[in-house]
Amino acid sequence: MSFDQNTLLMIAVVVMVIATIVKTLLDVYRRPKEPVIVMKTLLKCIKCDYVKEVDYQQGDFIGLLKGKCPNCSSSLKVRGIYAIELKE
Amino acid sequence: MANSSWLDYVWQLVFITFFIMIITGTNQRIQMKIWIYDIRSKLNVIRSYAESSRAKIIDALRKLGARDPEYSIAKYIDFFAISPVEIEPIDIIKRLDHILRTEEKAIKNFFEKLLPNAGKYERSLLESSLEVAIVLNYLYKVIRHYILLGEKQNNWVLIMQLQLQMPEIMKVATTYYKALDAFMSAKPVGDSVGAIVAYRLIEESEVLSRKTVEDTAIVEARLANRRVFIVKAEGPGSNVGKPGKVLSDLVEELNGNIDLVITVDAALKLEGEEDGEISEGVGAAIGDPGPEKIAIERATAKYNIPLRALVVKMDLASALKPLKKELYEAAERAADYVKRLIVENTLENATVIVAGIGNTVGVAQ
Repeated sequence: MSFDQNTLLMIAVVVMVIATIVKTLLDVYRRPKEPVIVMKTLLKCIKCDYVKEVDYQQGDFIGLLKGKCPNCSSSLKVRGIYAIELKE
Repeated sequence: MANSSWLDYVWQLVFITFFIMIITGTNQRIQMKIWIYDIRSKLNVIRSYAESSRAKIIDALRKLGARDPEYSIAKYIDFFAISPVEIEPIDIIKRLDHILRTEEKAIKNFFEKLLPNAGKYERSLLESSLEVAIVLNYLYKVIRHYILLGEKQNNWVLIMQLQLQMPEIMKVATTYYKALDAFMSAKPVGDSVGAIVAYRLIEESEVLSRKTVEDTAIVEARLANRRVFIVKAEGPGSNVGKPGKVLSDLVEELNGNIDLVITVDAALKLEGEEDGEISEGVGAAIGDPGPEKIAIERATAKYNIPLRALVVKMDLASALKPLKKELYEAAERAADYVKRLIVENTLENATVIVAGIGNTVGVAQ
């Protein structure tokens, strides 16, 4: 089966039109993938250098005394709260 | 040959159709329909953000014992503040300050009446959340206004402008929607870096006294053999305080005997810059509409006090969303930077004011 030049041109135009319409519709519907975020709380002993990163819990704030240090039994203080992006 | 002539007819028909479409503007109308379809689909997303944020606030209010929260929120969701007259500049800062304070007071009173038994902390979180919901609701209404106007007037230029701006508008809407979670659950946001720097300095110094004025904490401390006043909004609720007014009053209280004033804040980065870049400069690093910034400038200019600024750079999304680890680490570096600035620019026993500017959500003092 062979096509002349005009037919090939026609097919090319039709394919381009369809491709453009599909791309436009994809642009409308496609949503960028959202990264997965987890919140972490950084605890630090008020006496020694013990530092521990734990999962964030509702009510945590920077400056909050939370738990005891396993090394010296002093209080642990929230030193930082931050979001970490999980890599897939 | 017969096949070829048939195709010729089709081609001619296609080109004539295109020609007619171009001279009658039909192609633009088709283009406009595609744009409208795209804008409307994005508008639906913004509407879902606006409705969801409203529902979350109503739910939180109900949990805190508010009566008829739907009615109350419906009343305040369209709350607005009118800018002062700009063609008459006399007293514009005073007028703007008055309007901003009235707005703040109105929102505070609204929550005090709605939640008489809730604490200041819970109310501050809901105040900020309501502000986010107001922005999302306003954004939705403005976009809807322009799309309807464009359709009504068949104004393809208006639709085209809207279509071109939609990606940026969607970015802003998504950022605000995500910020809601941070404010409702009191997580520090990118804008909290100034408050974190202030907190870190308080932690590392010997505290002499503490007081709170106008939702702003003033901590007098000894740091690197200097007398340092650390100013930050009162946390850990969502609050920006009145750092300008408080700093200005503090300068007056000390009769201008201050050797250095440093302001630390988050700043919007330029494209190509990294999140968490620290830059040093002069002036008041504070992003308020005017009254707070001018108060710092006037107070330091009056007594000829050097005014230094330190900013941690980030984009709008990072400033409003929960604090990223890179920005937290940048805040730690910025605290060390401030200490270095104090030591390098003042002699021992000098008096210094450091103001950590920004929302202190999730950061105590």
